[in-house]
Parts: sequence; C-alpha cells; structure tokens
Amino acid sequence: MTIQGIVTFLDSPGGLLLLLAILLGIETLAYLYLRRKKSPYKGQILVLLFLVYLSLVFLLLSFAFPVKGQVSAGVTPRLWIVGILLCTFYLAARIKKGKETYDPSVPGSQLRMVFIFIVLCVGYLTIIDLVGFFPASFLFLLIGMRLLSYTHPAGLIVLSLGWIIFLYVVFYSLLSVPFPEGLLLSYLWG
Amino acid sequence: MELITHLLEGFGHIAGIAPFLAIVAGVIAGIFVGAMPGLSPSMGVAILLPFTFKMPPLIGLVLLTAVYLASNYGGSITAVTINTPGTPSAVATAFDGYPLTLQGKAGWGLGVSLVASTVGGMVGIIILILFSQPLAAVAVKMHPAEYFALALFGLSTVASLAGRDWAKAFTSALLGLLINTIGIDPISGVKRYTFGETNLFDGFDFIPALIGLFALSEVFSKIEEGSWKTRLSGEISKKEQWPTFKDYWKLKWATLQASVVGTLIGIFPGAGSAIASFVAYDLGKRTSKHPETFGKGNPEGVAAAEAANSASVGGAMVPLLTLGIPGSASTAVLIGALMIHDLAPGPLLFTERPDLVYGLFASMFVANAVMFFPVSGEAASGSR
Repeated sequence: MTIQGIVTFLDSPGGLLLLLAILLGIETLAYLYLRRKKSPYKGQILVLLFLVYLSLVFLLLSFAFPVKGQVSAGVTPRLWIVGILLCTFYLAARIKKGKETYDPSVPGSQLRMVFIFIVLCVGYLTIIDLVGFFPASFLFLLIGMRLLSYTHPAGLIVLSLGWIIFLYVVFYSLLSVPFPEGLLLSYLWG
Repeated sequence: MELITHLLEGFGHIAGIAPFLAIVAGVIAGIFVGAMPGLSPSMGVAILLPFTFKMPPLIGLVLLTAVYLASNYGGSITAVTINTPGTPSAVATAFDGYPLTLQGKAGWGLGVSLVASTVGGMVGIIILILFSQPLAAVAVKMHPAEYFALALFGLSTVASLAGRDWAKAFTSALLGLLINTIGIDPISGVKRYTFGETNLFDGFDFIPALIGLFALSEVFSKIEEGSWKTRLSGEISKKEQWPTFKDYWKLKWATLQASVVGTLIGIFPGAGSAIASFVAYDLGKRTSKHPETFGKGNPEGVAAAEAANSASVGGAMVPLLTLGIPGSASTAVLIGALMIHDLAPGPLLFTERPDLVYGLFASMFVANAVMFFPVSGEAASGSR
C-alpha cells in the first residue's frame, strides 16, 4: 500500500473511524498513565495531545489535496497547523517546567455522569436516522431527565411529550421545518 | 430642515393601528426568534417574509425591520441567563452577562442588555438618518484588503480577551480557523477534510457550533459540578434585581462608544453584528478603568456588546437603502422584501418613495421604544 493509498483511505468514512479509534486509544492510554503518575496537569496534557494528533493528521491529509491553480488548497490549513503546533509545544514546555496553573479541581466531580451523557447524546444522534427525530427526542429527554435524578413519572412523560408536541406544532406544522423521519416512520407510513 | 420634515411625515405614516400592531408583532416575534438558540435574525425575517406579501409595502417592511431589530436584543436573554447566546452577536454579551447571573444578578445582566440595546439601536438609527449618504460612499470603498484587515482586527480581540493565557487563546483561535477549513475550498473547489461525507462539504454552520460550544458545554459543566442535585434555598433579594437609573448612567460612555463603533462596523457589507459586538467589547475593555473585571461580571462588558450589536442594525441599513447592497444576512432578506413590493433599493428610493424610507426610520424608533418600555416595566414591577 502506497502512502497515497493510505492517505486516500484515511480521507474516507472508514479512515475517519480508524482515526477516531486511534485518538481514543491514545487519549485513554495517556489518561491511565497520567492518573497513575497523579499529574496535576492531566486535563491540559490530554488536550495538548489531542491538538498535536489533530494537527499531524490534518497535515498528512493536506498533502493529498490536488493542486489547482498556483496555490494548493492545503496551504491555509498548514499555516494554522504550524501555529497550533508552535503554541502546543510552548504550552507543553511550560507544563514541563511547572509554570502553568494546575487543572481546576471540581469538588464532588461527577465526571462519570458527564461521559454517560456524552454517550447518551451520541446514541441520540445515531438513532435519529433510525427511528426519526420525534421518537428519538422523546426518548432522549426521558432518559436524560431520569439520569439527572428526576423521578416523578408523570412529570417525565408530560415534560418530554409536551416539548415534542411544541416542536411538532410550531416548527413542523406552522413553519414547515423538515425533521428527519427515520427509517422506522418511513416504513410504517410509507 | 427638510430631513426633519420628512421624518415627521414618516411618523405620520406609521401613526395608525396597523403599523403599530405590525411593530408590536415584529418586536415580540423578534425577541422570541433571537432568544431561541437555533434561530437567527435572518431566519426570523425569512420566515415572516411570506406573511408580508399581501400587506402594504410600508407595513411589511416595518414588521420585518422590527423583527430584525428585536432579535438582536433577544439573543442576549439566553446569553445572560443560561450562557447560551441566541444569536451569534450575543456571544460577547455572555462573557459578562452569565457571570452576573452566577452572582445572583441576572436582573442586572438583563436590564443592562435591554437599556444598552435600546440606546444602541437609537444611536444607530440617528446615524443612519443623518449620515446615510456620506457613509454609503465609505462603504463602497471597502475592498478585499479592507475586509481582511477587519477580519484580522476581529481576531485580534482574542489577544485582548486572553490576558495572560495568550498561548491558550491563540491555540483556540487557530483551532477554530483550522476547523473552518473543513469543507469545499471556495477558491479551488477542492474538498478538504470531508472524509467522503457530503454533510461536511459545506463545513460547520455557525448555529450548531454555537449550541455545541456554549449550550452543551454549559450542560456538561453543570453535570460535572453535580449542581443538578442541589436546590436553591432561601430567597433571592428582590431589592437588587434590577439596576437603577444611576447605575445605567454610569455606563453611558461605554454604551455610546459601543453604539458608534457598532454602527460603523455594521455599515460595511458582510461585517455583521457579531464582529461589531466583539470589537466593541474589546474596545470597552481597553478603555475601561477596570479592564481586569471584564469576563467576571462587569456590566460595562454587557453594555458594550449589546449596544454595538443593536447599533449595527442601523448601520446595516445604510448600504441597503442607499446602494441596494445588504449590510448583513438579514438585510439581504429585506432586499427580497423590497423587490416583492416592486421597490428597487438604492439612492432613488429616497427621492421616489420618501414616505417609505422615513416611515421605516420612524418605525425603528418606535420599535426600540416598544421593546424597551413593556419589558422594563414588567421587570420593574417584578422587582418591587
């Protein structure tokens, strides 16, 4: 496989998934390592790693852009990438010397709940195309409120359903804003 | 003298039930549209445009202009209360508006944004009326080099906002610029970083980015803090809910300065209220006696951002009415409204239809008053 072939593959939906998986792997390993080291700069280092990874990936992909005219379409992104890399190396040097402020500490941090919510958001976006916007939004609101410790059953149903009805009446009926129907509704209603 | 005569005639043209109802409806719709994070002023104007087909030209334009004007204020409501700007131009308002809410002074944020919006809107209209012709001559002298300089100037506000953390601020700005390259290159037509996804051909829209960066980040932040588990205890003191006239008076220079800056930037086609609010906020910070308090709940920051973004409405109307060139996305839709009613925007509009032009100017004054008095009266009665 040539470099051009690799870059072409990376610039495809499959390549994007692979890049995201590599990023997730790098960030997870880094997080575990930094947690073991009890680094006060955990968050900042993870962000810098993400920036360096993103910059290098975008830099690699920019060399595959076809050159049309005198200047390649990759020149502008490369300009920003150089700036990002310089700033990240500067910040990394400051972290190494201990000159940066520590990561802010949040008492009683509920980081686990944040990740659960991110997974919920990703799941919501995924099922919109499957079941349609309105059913997906109803489920998202229901599960989201329940996760945030709202337990009143009637309140859960009324708030979720009420918001969906509001969206349907104002945006769908009155303003004719198209919402994704989803495969399920398309199959049921034709 | 002739100007005053025309303006008084303009007030005469809108002195009726129908124009007044159009203004009120426009202001209410505009505030709603502006407050909703998914809707922008141009969308609000575009959505209501078909409703104006059957209306007389003046009533239709009055309605749409009121929506445009009020939606610039409406964005500040959610910016101040939940750190989710309803419009791109309210982003700078959130910098100091939301910290005020966190300090239990949401009334201050909302009150200052309302008054500053009204004053800014009025200043913008006054400059529009008095200086539209000479300012239009300046607007046509803006070439790509000047636009680049303006964009660079807008980005330089990042340095001012960053303070000591300049490296992090620059990194964020450069990351934003890099993400903005995703999509089809407008010069060469090359697909950059689209990964074969047709949805990425147009890059990222401003509104989804705004919602993700402000609304979702605030949601995640609150979830991390666990503040969804706590309930408010005790009463918030009603005495301090809204600023007094003396408090507003202290902000007069910040507001007036931002109003002039906002109007001047609004004149340049394509510059928009977002750049106006950022530049005015930055200028307000540099000229303030306490710049270190900006970003921590300084009402001057709210006043500067809001005055500029409302004043830019008057500025954007200058090239629209005098040259037929839209100053912003919303005025681009207004051109459609003018054409639907068989009116050609440009210098001849002032001579052929002065009733329409000055009626529009008068309606903008009334719309600002309609926006200010009911909302502030409601707030004042709530604070007693």
